[in-house]
Amino acid sequence: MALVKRFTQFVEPPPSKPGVAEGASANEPTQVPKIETRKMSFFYGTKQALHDINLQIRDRAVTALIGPSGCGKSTYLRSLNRMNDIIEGTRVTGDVLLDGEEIYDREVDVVSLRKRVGMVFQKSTPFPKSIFDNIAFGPRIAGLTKKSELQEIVERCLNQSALWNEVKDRLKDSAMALSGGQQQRLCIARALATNPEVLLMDEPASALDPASTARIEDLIFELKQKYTIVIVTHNMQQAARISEMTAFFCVGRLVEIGQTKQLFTNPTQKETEDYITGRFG
Amino acid sequence: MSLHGEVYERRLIWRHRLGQCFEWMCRLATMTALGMLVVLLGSVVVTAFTPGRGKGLAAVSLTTTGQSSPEEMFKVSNIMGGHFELKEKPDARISEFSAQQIRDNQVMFNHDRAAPVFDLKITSPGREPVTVIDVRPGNMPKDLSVPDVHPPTPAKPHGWLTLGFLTSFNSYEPTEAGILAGLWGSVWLISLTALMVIPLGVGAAIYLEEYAKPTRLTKLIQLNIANLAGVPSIVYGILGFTVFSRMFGLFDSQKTVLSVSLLILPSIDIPLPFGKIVLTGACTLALLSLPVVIISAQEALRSVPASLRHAAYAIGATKWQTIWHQVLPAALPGILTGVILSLSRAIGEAAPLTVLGIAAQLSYAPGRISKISDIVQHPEGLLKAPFDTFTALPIQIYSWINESSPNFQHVAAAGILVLLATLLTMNSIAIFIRQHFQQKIRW
Repeated sequence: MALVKRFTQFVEPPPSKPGVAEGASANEPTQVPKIETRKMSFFYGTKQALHDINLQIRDRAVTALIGPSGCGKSTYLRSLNRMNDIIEGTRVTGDVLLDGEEIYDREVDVVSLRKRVGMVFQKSTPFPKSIFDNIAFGPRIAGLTKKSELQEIVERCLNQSALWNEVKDRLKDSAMALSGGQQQRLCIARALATNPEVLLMDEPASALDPASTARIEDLIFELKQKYTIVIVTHNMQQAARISEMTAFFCVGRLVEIGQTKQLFTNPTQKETEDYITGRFG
Repeated sequence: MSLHGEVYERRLIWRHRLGQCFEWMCRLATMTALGMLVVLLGSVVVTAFTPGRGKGLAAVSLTTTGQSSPEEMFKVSNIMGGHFELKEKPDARISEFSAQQIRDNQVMFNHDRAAPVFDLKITSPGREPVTVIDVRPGNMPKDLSVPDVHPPTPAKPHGWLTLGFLTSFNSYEPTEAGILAGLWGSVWLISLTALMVIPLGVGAAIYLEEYAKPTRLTKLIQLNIANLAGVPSIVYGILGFTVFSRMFGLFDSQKTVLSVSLLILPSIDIPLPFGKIVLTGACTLALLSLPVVIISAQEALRSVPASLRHAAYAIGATKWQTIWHQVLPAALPGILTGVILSLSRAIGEAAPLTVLGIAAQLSYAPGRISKISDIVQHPEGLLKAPFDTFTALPIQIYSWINESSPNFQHVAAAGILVLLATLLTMNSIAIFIRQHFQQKIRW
C-alpha cells in the first residue's frame, strides 16, 4: 500500500489538503507526520551532536529550525536525507521515519531516499553546466533520456521556482552566469526536478540580498502547497513569516517545538524566550 | 619600542627600503633564470642556423705510417670532402675514395704484389684535378702538404633546420642527415604512453581520492607514489629493460614471435620478449610518468569543491554518477595540466631509452609509416608500428652529438629545435583543450 502511494506521488504530486495546516498542533494525532524522529541521536565520531530528538514534521507545511550557531539544526536537517553519511565516522541512533518507514534501515537505498527528500544548500551550487543541463541532471541520471520529457520537466521546474521568465531565452547559457538569487532559485528548481516529496533547505537565503530573499520566501510559500518543507534559518523574522511550525534547537537538544505564532509570541521555555528576544545567541 | 615618533619614522624608512631590496632580489632571480633560458635557446638556434664547413679542399697533408709493412697507410688529415683518386698506372685501374671513406682520415691500400705506382689525384667536385702525386713504394712522401687550393663552400648556408631535415632519414653525410625516424618514433612513443598513462593515472587517482578509506595502507601507498615521482629516470630504464624488454628472461634468447591474427585485419607479429620495440619504450615511459600524473590528478580532484559533490548527491546521484558527471569534468583542467607536464618530461627522456638499448639511428619509421599517405597505402602499418623497432628524438640527438664530424653538431642543434617544437606543439594542444574545458566550467 505504501509502495502504491509512493508511486502515485512520484508520477504526480497529489493535490494539497486544505485546512489541515491551520489549527493543528504538533502532537495532535489527527495527521500522520511526513517525517518523524524518535529519540534520535547523532554522533561525529565520539562527539555527540544531537541528543534524543523527538520531532514530527507535518506534511505540506513549512517547518523552521532555529537556534544559535552550532546547535545541531543543520546536522539534524542533513540527517533527514542521510547527507551526513558522506562524512566519515558519523553515526545515528534512534528512529528517523519517512512516511512511517525507517530511513536508516539497511535495505533503504540512499539514492532513492535522496530523490524523495531533496535538498537546497546555503551556498548556491549550480553545476558548471548550462541552465537546462542543471535541471535535467537529476532526471537524466535517474534514467530519463527523452528530450521532450526533459524539456517539459525543465519548464515545469523553472516555472515552479519562478525563474522561467528570466531564463527561458538562455537555457543553453552557463548557470554560473546567473545572479546569486537566480542561482539559488535554480538550485530549488533542480531539487524539484526529481519530483521529491520533501524539500530540505539549509539557510537558503542567508547569502542573498533582501530582494532575492523575498523572492525565495514567496517561492517557499508557493511550494508548501505541494511539498513538505523543512528550513534551517538564522533569520527569525523569516521563520516567523514563512513557517507554520518552528523548532528551537540549542546545544544539540530540541528545546521547544510549536506553532510558529505561539512559539514567537508565547514560548514555553525560558531558553527559547531568551533566544528570540535576543538576550542570547 | 615606540610605535610613533622619530624612532618609528626611521624604522618605517628602513622597512620600506628592505621591501625594495627584497623586490629587487626577486627581480634579479627572475632575470637570471630568464637570461639562462635565453642563452640556452640562443646557442641552440645559432648552432642550428650556422652554415657548416662545406665540401671542397682545405689544407691536405699526407703522411706515410711506415715502409716495412706491405700495407701502406696514408694519413690524410684536414679533409672535409672532395675525391681521392688512386690510379694504378699499369692497367689504369681506378679506385675512388669518396669523402665518406676517408672519414676516419685514413686511406689504406695494398701494393705488395706488383709494386704498383699510384697517382694520387685530389679533386674537388666539379673541378679539374689540382694535385697529382706520384706515389710508389720507397718513394713515399714522408710528410706531404698540399696547400689550401680551394676555399670550402659552406654547407647548408640557410641553416640545418630545413624541410629536408624533417623529411629524410639519417645519413652518414651530415648535410643529408634527417630526423624523420626519431620524429615518428617519438610520436608513436608518446601517443602510446599517453594512452596507457591517462587511464591508469586518473583511475588510480580517483580510487585513492574518492573510494579508498584513509587507512594506514592508503597513506603508505600515497607516500610511496610521492617517492616514486622522484626516482631517477634511469632506474625506470632498468626496470623497463628487465620487465618489458627482457621479460625476466622467461623466453629464449632467440626471439619467439607471437603471431596474432585478427579476423579481417592482417596478422601482427609480436616479438617475445618485447625487445627494443615501441611498446617497451612506451611502457617504460608510462611507468615513469605515472606517479606525477596520479599526484596531480589527486590534487585536481581534491580542489573540486565539496559543495559540488554534495549538490549531486542531494539530487540522488550515485557515487559513480557524481564522480563521472560532476567531479571529473570539474577536475579535468587540473588533471590535463599534470598529464601534459609529465608527458613533456617523458618525451625528452633519453636515459631510460638508452638503458633499453634502442637503436640510435634507423632508416625506417615504426610500421614503415614515414608520411601521412603511407597510412592510406598500407594501413596495417598502424597495427604493426607498436611492435616495430624504433628510435626517438632524444636518442638521435644524443648520437649526433657523439659523432666526430663537426657538422653533426649543427645537425644535433637542429634536432634539439625539432624536439622543442614537438614539445611546444604538444603543450599548446593541451592548453587549448584545457581552455576549452575551463570555459565551460566557471566557478
